[in-house]
Amino acid sequence: MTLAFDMILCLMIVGTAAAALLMRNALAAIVFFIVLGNLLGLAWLAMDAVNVAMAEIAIGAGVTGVLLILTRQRLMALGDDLVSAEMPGWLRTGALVACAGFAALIGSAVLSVAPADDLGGSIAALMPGLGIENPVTGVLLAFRAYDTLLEAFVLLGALVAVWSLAPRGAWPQRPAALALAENGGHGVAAAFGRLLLPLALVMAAYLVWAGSDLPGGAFQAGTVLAGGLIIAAIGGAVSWPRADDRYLRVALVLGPAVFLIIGLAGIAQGRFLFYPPGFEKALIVAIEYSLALSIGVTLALQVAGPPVAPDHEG
Amino acid sequence: MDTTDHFMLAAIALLLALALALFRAWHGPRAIDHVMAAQLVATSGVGVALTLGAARDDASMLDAALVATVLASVAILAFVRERRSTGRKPRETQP
Repeated sequence: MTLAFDMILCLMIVGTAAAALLMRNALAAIVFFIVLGNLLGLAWLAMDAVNVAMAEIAIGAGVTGVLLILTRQRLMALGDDLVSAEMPGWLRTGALVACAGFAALIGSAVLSVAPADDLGGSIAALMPGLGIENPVTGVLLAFRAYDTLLEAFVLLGALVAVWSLAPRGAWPQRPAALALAENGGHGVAAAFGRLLLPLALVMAAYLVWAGSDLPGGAFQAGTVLAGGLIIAAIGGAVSWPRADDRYLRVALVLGPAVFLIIGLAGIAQGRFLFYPPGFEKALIVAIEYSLALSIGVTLALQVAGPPVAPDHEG
Repeated sequence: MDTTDHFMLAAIALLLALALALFRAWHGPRAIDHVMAAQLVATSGVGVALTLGAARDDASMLDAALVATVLASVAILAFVRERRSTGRKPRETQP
């Protein structure tokens, strides 16, 4: 029974990926990309990798899909007909060869990992010292905390890059409003945004807390928070702050800053990112809550785009 | 056939229903048909995650389904924003 499920899912994933690549209609291609994200999430679930499944569903299908849909709208508003130019044959063939080579490289890398390689076992042996039970959180926040710290800064750097695209004169205004342009349906969207933002907040808080012992964590929670913020912004329940807003700046740097300060405090104990014994879980949860807030706000503002001059709303 | 098999069977049925939605995602013909197909896929995906969680007896898969539920609605809201409705308006009803 499980085999049949896996086979059908694999076929659908390959078919959906092909459709997303080959569709001429930009909207249909975006839709297939969102479907692909959802199916990949199900595939991770089928492999019992619930942490990855959550991240894929939230980021791959959720926020990236919204980003693509909004990009399409903005391109159409600029008069782009969304038809890609014909590519010369050598470029197509070259792209095909490059992508196939890359896929083969990844495939060989994955297959070179021996199934008996007991990485999970060696991590499980280290976990009792941390006071948390989710090995993925253990790897992200303790054993490879350096990577996660850098990722948090990369996300912040990406927002700085988006902001630096702001036209002259727009800085430091607000990003373009996402609110519905039409009046019809505005009430529905506004009520939905007001309903969903608190729900998303509760869920993000829950996901971080659950992430210590169960699948979940700061990135998943931050994405849920970003989704709630985007929905509330489309409904007009919240409006984007100015880019120089003091509270906004604090929310953006809180996660990376708390992470960095706790990491630097570890130097006093011996080395960078060292958690003093007995305080591991408290520090990890503190880092994760502040990271989730910063990730949520950063992702929402990346979707919102660079600041625009007040007379160019929309 | 035990309970696990029943849940897996339900998951397969939901997955096949999801595959039918892909027909609309491919054909359209209107823009809203594509987007509604994505919504149907997301909803069915939540169903598959729930049945899979029941079959594996893994409560954390319900959390994954919750995440999918919250974020599925963002796409359609993003789509309907700033878009002239090309379909017919619903007929005025007398109060």
